[in-house]
Amino acid sequence: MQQKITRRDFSERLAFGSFWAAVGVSFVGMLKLLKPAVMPEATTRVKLGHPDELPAGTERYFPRQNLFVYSEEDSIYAISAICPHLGCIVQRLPESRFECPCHGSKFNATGEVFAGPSPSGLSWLEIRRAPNGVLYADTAITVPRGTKWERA
Amino acid sequence: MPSALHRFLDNLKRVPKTFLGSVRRHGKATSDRGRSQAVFSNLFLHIHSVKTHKNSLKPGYTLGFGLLTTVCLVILTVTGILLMVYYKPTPELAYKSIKDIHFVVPTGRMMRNLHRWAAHGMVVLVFLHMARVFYTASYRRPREFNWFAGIALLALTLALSFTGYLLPWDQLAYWATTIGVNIASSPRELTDALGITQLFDPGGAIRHLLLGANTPGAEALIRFHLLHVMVLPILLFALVGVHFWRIRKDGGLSRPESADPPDGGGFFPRGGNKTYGLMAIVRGRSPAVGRAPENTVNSWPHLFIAQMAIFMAATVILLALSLAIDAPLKEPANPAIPENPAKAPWYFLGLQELVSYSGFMGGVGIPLISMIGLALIPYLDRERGGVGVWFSGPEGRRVALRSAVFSTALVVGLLAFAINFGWLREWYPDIPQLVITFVNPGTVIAACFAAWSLWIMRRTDSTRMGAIALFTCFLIGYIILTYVGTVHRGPNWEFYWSQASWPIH
Repeated sequence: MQQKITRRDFSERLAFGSFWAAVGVSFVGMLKLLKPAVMPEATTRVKLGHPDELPAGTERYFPRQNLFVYSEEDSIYAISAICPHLGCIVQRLPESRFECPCHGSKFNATGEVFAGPSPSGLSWLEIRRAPNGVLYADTAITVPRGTKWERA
Repeated sequence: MPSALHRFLDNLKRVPKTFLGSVRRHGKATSDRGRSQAVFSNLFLHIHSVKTHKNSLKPGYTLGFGLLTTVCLVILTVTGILLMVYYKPTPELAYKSIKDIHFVVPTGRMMRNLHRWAAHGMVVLVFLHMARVFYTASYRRPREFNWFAGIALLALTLALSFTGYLLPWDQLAYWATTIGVNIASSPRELTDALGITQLFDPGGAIRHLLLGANTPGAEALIRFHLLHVMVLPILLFALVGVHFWRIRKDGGLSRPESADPPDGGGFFPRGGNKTYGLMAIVRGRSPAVGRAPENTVNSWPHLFIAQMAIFMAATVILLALSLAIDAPLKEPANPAIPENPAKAPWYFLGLQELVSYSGFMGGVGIPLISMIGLALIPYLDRERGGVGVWFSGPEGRRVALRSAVFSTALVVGLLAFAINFGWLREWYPDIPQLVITFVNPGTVIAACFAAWSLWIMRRTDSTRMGAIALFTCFLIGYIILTYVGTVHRGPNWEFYWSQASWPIH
C-alpha cells in the first residue's frame, strides 16, 4: 500500500531539503576557490643554448629544471629526470642508465623502465628552436619516446 | 533596613565570595554529595558521570590508552600554539624560523621536542587504544558507531602528523611530502593505464587541491600549515567531542557480564521493571539501568586521581624523551636533489614498502581497503558474548596467537621472496601496467589475510573469531612492514641488514 504524505510533512521535507541543498551547493561552489586559476610556478621553458654549444656527444644536466639533454651527431633530445612513480629525481649512472633513489625504479638509456614500480618510462620533452637560433625545452610538454630535434 | 550606602559597602566586601558563588553552580566539594554535585553541574567535569564503574578503573582493563592519547593531544595543542608564535609558513622563512625555535627561542627546543614526541606518542597510542578496544570486543552494540568514530580519529591523527611533517621545510620534509602527495594523486596511475586521464583525472584534482600548484612550493606550505593548525584540529576536536559523548551515552566503558553479578544482594532490588536510566533518557546499560549502583564509586575522587596520575606520568615520560633526544632538522629543502633514501614518517614506512612495488595499490588501494575493513568490523560481527573479556576468552587467545604466527610467516616469507627474486617486472618486462598496479605484494597479503579469516570463521563458526583473526593479521602485517621499511631499507630503497652497511656516498 502506498504511504500517504501529509501536506505538513511534505513542506517540512521541502524546507529541510532546500536547506541542505543550499549548504551542499555552497560548499561545492567554495571548492572552486581551491584550484588556482594560474599555477604559481616559474616558466616551464628551459633555455638549452645554441646547438653549437651542444656538440655531438655532450650530456648536459639541468638541476633546477630536472632534465637531461643529450646531443648526437645530427640530433638533440631531452629526457625528464622526474620519476613517474612518485616524483623523485632519478640519477644517471655511469653504465648509461637511470635509477630512482626513492623506490628503486630503473630505466635504460632511452628512459624505458625495466625494473621497479614506475608505471611508465621517463618522459621525453619537446625541444624547439627560437627565431634567434637558441634551443628551448618545455618540461610541461612531453613527446613520444624517440622524438628528437634534428640538426638541419 | 540599612541604607542603600550600607548595603552597597556590604556587597562590596562580599564580592569575592558572591562572585565565586556565581561561578560555581554548587557548594564546596567537601562531602560526597558536594563532589557529586560538582561533577554533575560543572561544564568541564560533566564529561564524566558522577559515578564510575569499578571495572573501568582497573588498570589492566583499559591500560589507560584512551586517556594517554588524550594527554598527548592536550600537550600537542599547547606546544603547537606556542610554536605558532614564532613559526612562519613561507619557503624562505620556515626553515629559519624552526632553527630559531630550536636554538634561540627560550624553551623553544623543549616545546618543539615535546611536540614531536607527543605526536609520535599519539600515533602509537591511537593504535594501542584501538587494539585494546578490539580485543575486549568493546565495539559491540551499542558502541558500533563509536568504533567508527575512532577509525575516523585514527585517520585524522595520521593526517595531522603528515601535514606537520612538511612544515620545517627541510630535505626530509620536502621529499616526504613530494612522495606523499604523489601517492595521493596516484589514481592517475590507474587512469593513465586505462587511458582516460584526459576525461577523468581525480589524481590531478587531489594534487592541485593539496599543493595549489604542480610541485610543492609556497602554496603547498601555506595549505599544509592551514590544514595542520586549523582545519584538521577543528575536525579532530569535534570528533573527539562526539567520541567522549558517545562513551557516556552508550553506557560508559564496556565491561564483562561478570563485573555485575546477577544478584549482588545489594540495596537495590534486582529484576522487575524498574529502570533508573529513565530519569535521563539513556539507552542501554548506563550504570543505573538494570544494574545496581553498588559496583560504582564516586568519580571524584577515584577516577579523577587516576586520571591526574596518568596525565603526570605521561608528561614526565615525554619531558624525559624531549630532554634526551632532539627532533631532527636536516638541510634546507632542495627540490633538485632528493634525500636518499627519502623516508616518510615511520608509521607510513610500511605503506612506503608497499608503494615500492606499485604506487596506486600500495599507497591508496590497500590502505583504503584496510580502513574500510576496520570500520565495518562492528557491523559484520554482531555476536553478543565475550564483551569486556580480553580476546573474548581462551579460544580467542588461541586464534589470535595462531593468526599472529600465520601472518608473521606470510609477510616475512613474501617480503623475503620479493627482496631476493624481485617482483613481476623483473621477470616479465613487458607485462601490462594494470597487472603491476594491482598485483602488489600487499594485495597478495590482504587476500591471504581475508582467506585465513574466512577459514577461521568457518572452522570456529563464529564471526568474532574471524574478526580476531583478521585484526591480528592486520596488526602484525602493519608492524612487520613498518619494521622492514624503517630498518632494512637504505639508499635506492634497497635491502640492507642494518644502517651500518649502507654505502658511503
